[in-house]
Amino acid sequence: MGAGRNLPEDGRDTAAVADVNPAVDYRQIFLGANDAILIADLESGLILDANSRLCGLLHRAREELIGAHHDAIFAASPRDDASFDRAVDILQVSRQPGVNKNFLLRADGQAVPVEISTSLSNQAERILATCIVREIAEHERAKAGLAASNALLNAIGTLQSRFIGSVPMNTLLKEILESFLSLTGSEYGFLGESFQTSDGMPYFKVQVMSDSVWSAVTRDFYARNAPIGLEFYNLDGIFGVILKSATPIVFNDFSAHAARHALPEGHPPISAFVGLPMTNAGETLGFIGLANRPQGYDAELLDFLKPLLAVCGSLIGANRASQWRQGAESELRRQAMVFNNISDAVILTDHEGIVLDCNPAAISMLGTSKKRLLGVPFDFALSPGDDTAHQVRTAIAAVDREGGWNGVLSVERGDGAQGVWDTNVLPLHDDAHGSSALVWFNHDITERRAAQMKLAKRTLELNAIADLSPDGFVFIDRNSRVTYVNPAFEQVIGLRGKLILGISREGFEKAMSELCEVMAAGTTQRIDGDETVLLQLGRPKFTLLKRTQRILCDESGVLEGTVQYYRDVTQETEVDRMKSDFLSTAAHELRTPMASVFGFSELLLRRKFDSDKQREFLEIIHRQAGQLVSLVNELLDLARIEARAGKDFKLSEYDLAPIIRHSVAELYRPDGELAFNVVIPEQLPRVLVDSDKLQLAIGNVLGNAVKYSMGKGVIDVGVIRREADGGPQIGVLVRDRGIGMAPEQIARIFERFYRADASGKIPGTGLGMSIVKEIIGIFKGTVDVRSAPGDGCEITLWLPVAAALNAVGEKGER
Amino acid sequence: MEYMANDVMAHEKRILIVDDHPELRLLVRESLDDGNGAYLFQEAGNAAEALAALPAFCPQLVILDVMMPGEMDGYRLCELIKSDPVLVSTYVVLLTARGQKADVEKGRAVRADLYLIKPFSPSILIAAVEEAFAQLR
Repeated sequence: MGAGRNLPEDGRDTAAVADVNPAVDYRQIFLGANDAILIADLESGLILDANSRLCGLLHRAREELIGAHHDAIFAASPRDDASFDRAVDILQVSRQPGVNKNFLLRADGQAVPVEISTSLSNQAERILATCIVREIAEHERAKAGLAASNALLNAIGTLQSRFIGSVPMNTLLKEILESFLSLTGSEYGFLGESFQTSDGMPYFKVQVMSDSVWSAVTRDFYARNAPIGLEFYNLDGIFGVILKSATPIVFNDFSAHAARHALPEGHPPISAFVGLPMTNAGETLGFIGLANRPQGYDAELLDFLKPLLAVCGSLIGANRASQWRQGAESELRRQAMVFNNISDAVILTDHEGIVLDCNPAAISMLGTSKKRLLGVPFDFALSPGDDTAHQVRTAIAAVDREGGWNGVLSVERGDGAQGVWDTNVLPLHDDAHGSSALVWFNHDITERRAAQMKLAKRTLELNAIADLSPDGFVFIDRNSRVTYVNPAFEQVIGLRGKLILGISREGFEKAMSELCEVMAAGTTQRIDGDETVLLQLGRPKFTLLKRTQRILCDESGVLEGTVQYYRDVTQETEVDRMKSDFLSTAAHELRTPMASVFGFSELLLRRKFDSDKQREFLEIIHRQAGQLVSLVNELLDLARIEARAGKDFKLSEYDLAPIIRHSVAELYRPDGELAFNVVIPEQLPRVLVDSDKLQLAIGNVLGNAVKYSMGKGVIDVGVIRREADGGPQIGVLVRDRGIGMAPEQIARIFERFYRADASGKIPGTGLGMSIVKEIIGIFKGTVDVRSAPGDGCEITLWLPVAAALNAVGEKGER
Repeated sequence: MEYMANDVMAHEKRILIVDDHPELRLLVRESLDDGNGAYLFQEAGNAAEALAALPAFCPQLVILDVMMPGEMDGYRLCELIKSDPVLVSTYVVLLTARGQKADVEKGRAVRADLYLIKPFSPSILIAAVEEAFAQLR
């Protein structure tokens, strides 16, 4: 197309015709020309001729074209490209000489970009337009491709530099999406990534989406979801298909899918859609969805986008790796810090128990160095010996079998002392190789163990002491609750532990105050902070209790609790009182005769008395000295019987009759003043007694009968029998007809030093009947007293019959 | 020992001896009797007898046993004497076999003037009685 073909300004110049060379067969040139040529009548717009090249270009027959209006072959511009002329302007444009760009319409409807050189000529009153048409499709494509490639490269370069420049990922994703939108000319789109929930469920999250607002609903939809990203857990639809597919999926006729994939309310309408999966190292990380490219999405476009898509996949992959690495690094740092600073000994071994690593705590606990620990069998590092080796083997076996082990390991500590570790063993998982090592977490519980054992032992000891103690213990804790009572307490107080355990101090004290009385306030003593008080218990039986209370405080003086200690002092208090009473009474009884002896003898020594007086005084001295002797003897008898509780009694079976007769004979005076009426059968059951002691008892009873008869009447001595609970008994009965006793005198008859005679005329020590009672008691007998004032007195000494004693023995009481 | 009724109040030194043991009463009297009738004696075998004797005999000095048969013991009698406005100045000697500290303190509590423990030395009793009368004078 030479520039010289331009028409003059008026457009009606015929200069071109002048160029016609008659020797040239223009027809052949026209038909065979390499360029497509179209000749049309400018006025009518009808096509007059077309060469074969044009026919080939338009995929039409020459006959079809000739006579057709030229509009039929001009296509509307498929692209809004200023470099192409609009079809509507074709005539006018075509009138202009020069080169125009335009589109011709192919038979299949495809627009073919062309460059048209038009020249005009007048022939037979018609203006003919001769258009030389050159297909420029290849050129155009190359040019557009270049521009797109530039844009693509630009996009890739930008994105990579942005990524390296640490632009926030979301911004980068936004830029990626924008690149895709502009590169493809899509109306809108989104970019999302696939993730997994913590429990392994995959989901798709839209990270960025284009801000295309169609309606209030859409605006709202976008405003709600754009900043946070939409998450899709149902991946059965398109999203799932795209994510599973490693290659782009195109829906150029999206409405056909609309029924299957209903769009949410407010979603912009979609005509064409493409899903572009972004992959990295064979893994689909997400996809870019683009919609509504006017010309749809084709393979060419997808090929074109491949590099950018690959870059995007790499960027997202790199970002994820970087995030993971950062996380892993900080996790590792954190773990290392824990490992190095934890107070527990942490040791890594392989599955054979060889130490691979250990932390500082382990080194210090074992008192060794890291160098000496590494590569050594764990059990040997702990404590050389079969026991530890066995423990470690057991632990490793348990980890292999059950995935973990917890137990106690014996360990030889750095200072040579034996220690105990509470150990947890876990397999260390390595994604690539499974369990490659074991981690031993060891907590030193030596001290705790020792303390626990000491405590347990101490508790055992204390429990044994408290359980066996005859004294009662009550423990009240710091919260003023009764937390312990021992069996002795329950027994002595008669309060069941079940009823008082857990009750408050107030409740306990109230219960106690109902049972016992605090003795005179003056009896409260405080010694070293312990408070002692005497309590008197009315039931279950009269008991005197000494309660000592100690308040327990810890080292810092904080109240820990209170221990109450109850000792039954009834016996000792009573015995003390009786002893003291006995002693003072005995002293008094001894002092009275002694006063006569001492006083009269002094008078005799100091002054002169006539012989009558001297004799009177000496008689008194003699009589009182005799009384002293009796007193001393009887006191000794009584003391001996009491103290030895009959242990020096020589018990054997005796006939009763000779003992009674002998006792009577001892007292019988032949002067006839006394009359004994002794009635004893020859055959009497035998009794188990000490004959001397029984004779002493009978003698005392007979002596009293004689003294209190005052020489009046006969004294009966006999034997009677009865059946008692313990078997048959035989009674030695002595009856006098003397002054007798009143009931209150009878009640005191066995009291030490008590004397029924208040006048002092009847000699005696007041110990005789006490001795009788002690002796008969040792023979397991009893003493009956029957008397009335002025009506004499009847005393019966009941003794078990020996056969009965034997029978009891034979019955096997023990 | 025997005296005429009208002699009683005329006699300056009247002593009441209260003891359930006759030989002890005899011992006290023999100890104090110098043969010249320096003292006028009356005896009682228990507290009741003593109480009965007191108003008529009106002794300046009472020698009193503590443990005696009957309702009342020596302490109680001493207490009665010392709380009676007429008898309060009577000098009371407790002469008893009860020699423990608590007994002596009890004697002091009932305001006895002197506490002597049996057995006693007659010469000490004599001195004590002479001293008492010296005070009374």
